Amino acid sequence: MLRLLRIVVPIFLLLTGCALQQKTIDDIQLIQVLGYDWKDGEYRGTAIFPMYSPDKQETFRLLTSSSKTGREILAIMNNKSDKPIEVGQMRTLLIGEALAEKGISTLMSTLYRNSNVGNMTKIAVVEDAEHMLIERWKKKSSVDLYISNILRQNEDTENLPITNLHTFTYQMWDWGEDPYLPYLTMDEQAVKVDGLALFDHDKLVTKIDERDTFIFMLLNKGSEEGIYESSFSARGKKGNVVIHDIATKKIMKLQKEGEHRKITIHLKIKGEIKEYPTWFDLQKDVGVLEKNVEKHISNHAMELLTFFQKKNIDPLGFGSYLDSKIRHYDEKQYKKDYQNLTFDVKTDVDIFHSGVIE
Amino acid sequence: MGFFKKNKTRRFSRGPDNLDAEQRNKNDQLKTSLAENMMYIKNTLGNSDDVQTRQFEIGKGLTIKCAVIYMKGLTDEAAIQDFVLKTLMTEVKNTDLEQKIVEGPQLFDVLKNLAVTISDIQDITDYQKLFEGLLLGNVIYLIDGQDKGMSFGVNKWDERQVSEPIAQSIVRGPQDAFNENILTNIALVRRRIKSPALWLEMKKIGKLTKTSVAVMYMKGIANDKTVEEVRQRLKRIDIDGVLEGGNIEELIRDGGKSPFPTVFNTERPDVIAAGLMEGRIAIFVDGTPFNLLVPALFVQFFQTPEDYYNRSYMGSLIRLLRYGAFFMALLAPSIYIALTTFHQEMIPTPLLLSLAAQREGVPFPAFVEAVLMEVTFEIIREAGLRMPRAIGPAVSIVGTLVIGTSAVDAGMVSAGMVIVVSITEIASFVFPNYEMGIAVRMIRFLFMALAASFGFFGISVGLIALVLHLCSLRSFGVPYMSPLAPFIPADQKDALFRLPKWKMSSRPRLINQENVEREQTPQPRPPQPNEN
Repeated sequence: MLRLLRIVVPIFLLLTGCALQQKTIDDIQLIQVLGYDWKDGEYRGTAIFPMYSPDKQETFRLLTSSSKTGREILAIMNNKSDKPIEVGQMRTLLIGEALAEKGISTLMSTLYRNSNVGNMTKIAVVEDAEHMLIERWKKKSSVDLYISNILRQNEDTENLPITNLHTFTYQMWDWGEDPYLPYLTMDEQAVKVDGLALFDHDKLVTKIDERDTFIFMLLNKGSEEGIYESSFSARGKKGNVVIHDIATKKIMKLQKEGEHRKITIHLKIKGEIKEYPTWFDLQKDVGVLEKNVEKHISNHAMELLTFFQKKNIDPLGFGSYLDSKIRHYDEKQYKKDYQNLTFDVKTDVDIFHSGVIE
Repeated sequence: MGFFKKNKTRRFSRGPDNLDAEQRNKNDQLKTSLAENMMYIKNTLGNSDDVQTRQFEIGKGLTIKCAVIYMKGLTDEAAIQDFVLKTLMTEVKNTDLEQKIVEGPQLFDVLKNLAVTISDIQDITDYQKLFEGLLLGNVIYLIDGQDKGMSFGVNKWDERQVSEPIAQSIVRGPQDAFNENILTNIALVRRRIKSPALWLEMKKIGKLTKTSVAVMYMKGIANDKTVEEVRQRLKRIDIDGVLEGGNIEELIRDGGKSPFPTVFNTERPDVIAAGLMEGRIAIFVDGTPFNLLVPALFVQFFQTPEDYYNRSYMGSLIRLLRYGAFFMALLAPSIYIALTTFHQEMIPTPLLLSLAAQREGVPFPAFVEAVLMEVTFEIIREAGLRMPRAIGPAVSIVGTLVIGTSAVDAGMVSAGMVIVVSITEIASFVFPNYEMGIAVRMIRFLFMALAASFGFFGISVGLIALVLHLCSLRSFGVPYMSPLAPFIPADQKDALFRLPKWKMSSRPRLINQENVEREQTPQPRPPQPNEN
């Protein structure tokens, strides 16, 4: 017993001095949403903290600060706070457009290396993070998990590709692909997903809208959910149809055509027709519609691919694809190749369902 | 630094053991004079009032003085009336005892062979035997002029009926439990195993209590070395009294300072029978319904007889549940403490917000809060146990209210902590064997301290230390954690899971080595066309 005490007592008395700092949950300020902007040649940080009271009435506090470095933002905020600030519960990180255009690799690697920041933290690009957070905060309702829930919900229903701190940094540091993040805007009612922001390494280059995002999703992983709207005309009548994509299979093929390489993307889409004009004849017109949609999607996809090429970004990761197919392929070769790649998109649409009544 | 000095071993000098009549009378032979003998007995027993003596005379002409001595309450007085006094005083009186026989030493044998209608008779020649018999409840019969006496085994005292088990109850299965009489207990087991290989060795332990202790094992199944080891350890015991199996357990168990039980105890005859058939050794102790079973393994404390009486699915699932409860009882409060004080990033946000809101008004750190609640619960539990039965419900009502609502309302503890403590405490009562629950309840506090000082790091280090400790334990030569460590594939059928009976074809490997095969029943199936 005494021998045991001789070990245990020093451990508890001495080692506790070296032990990690206690962070009892009610004695810390937990950042839930953090926004970064670039304003007047400085980082501008905006953070929202939940304030809890025993009667469960949740209120929120907003703090802003400016600094030359991203990390110091938190330190300056700490000066304004009555409890130490912790980033462990940060669920959403908003990046202002100006900052995104300037480049965010330093910021991201700082966050990525911090073990307290979860790799699943959602990141989104907005026009002005400070403005958005202040507006949300003024409304005093649903601030904490609101934005991350919007993003998660849209990812689950496959309106958005899955993105988080991990995917972003992975894509950023991989030479074969470029990162993308959801782009958020705000209207009177709510915050809204408004397409994707596409990066070149760590700099925001361009944005695509929701219709492009659907095609992007098809080309990226092959989606299992998603709504596609298309105009349709037959027998001199015009109308719009909505197709619900149920399952998409993507097959890629690499061919060599002389000097250049050609990638053929074959999309097999199984869909359900959701909405169609009353004159639409399911027996006769579906075949035509399928052809129509196939052409539509193929063209749209080709447009998107050439657009990426023009902007010299590779969010679909063709570099990684080539790397996996060609021995001793490297970044240098890829830099030369990418502009000369030719694409061919073949689409195969099968509409097999039109709802409960056939 | 006295604290760090080695503890000096103190030895008590052994004074003259006045209490021990055995020592004093060791060599005293019975006297020929009845009066002298009676005097000696009375003096030795200090004229105790429950010593009943009855002097009378027998023979035609009433010449032979005799006496019976017995302890009131320990002896079957009806038997004394019918078989001792009646025969001696009325029948022998009428018999014509020849004078010369009466004079001579044959009288003793004549009386013994002709006059006493009791089967259990022992001759006594010295006082040591006399007192041994007398205090066991025998009737001592002394005759004037003879330097020996007789001891009639007619002891009988009031005992509890064989009733339902109190501490280890089950739904399906035999509902009888041991009582306080060692002979009844042995009979309960004998009734289950009708094999001549069931061997029994009885001995007396305790200088004052002279408690009967029996070692029971299946010859040919139990490991002979283990049986010898049990014998040796029992022989080593030198103690004044044994009042419960726990006394024996503490004196023969391995891992002296370990909080974990290395001797299994049970009040169920079917558990003892099952253990014996696996090659374990049962130790019966007179005076307690809780009898011992060795070697005891860690997994054994998570098994109930019901696991084997129900179908194997239920047995396995419930057993897994118990292992889950083990970790819950051990770690739930410490994980809660670690999460709330160190690792807030690991709590889901909505839960964190509600936990933080609950904690907002609580003045104590989570550790103090947890210890407060745990200790309060232990106090209530202990009070509920020790209270006179009639007051019990009152205590539990007050206790529940204090723990449940008032403490939270008053802002002493957070509601989350109450939930954690309740779950922990309930989980610690899931174990079929009370002993394991005790061990877990003790170690839990150590883990709470580790969690409060070092977070999950402390818990991990504590767990590693715990596993090392458990693996270092042995119970009568068998590694405590077997068949998990060392891993014995063949014995997995009855460790974490309970496989169907027809799969349990062999006995546990480390417990017996010789007679491993248990059964050869094939899996039950409908008759096949090509069979007969």
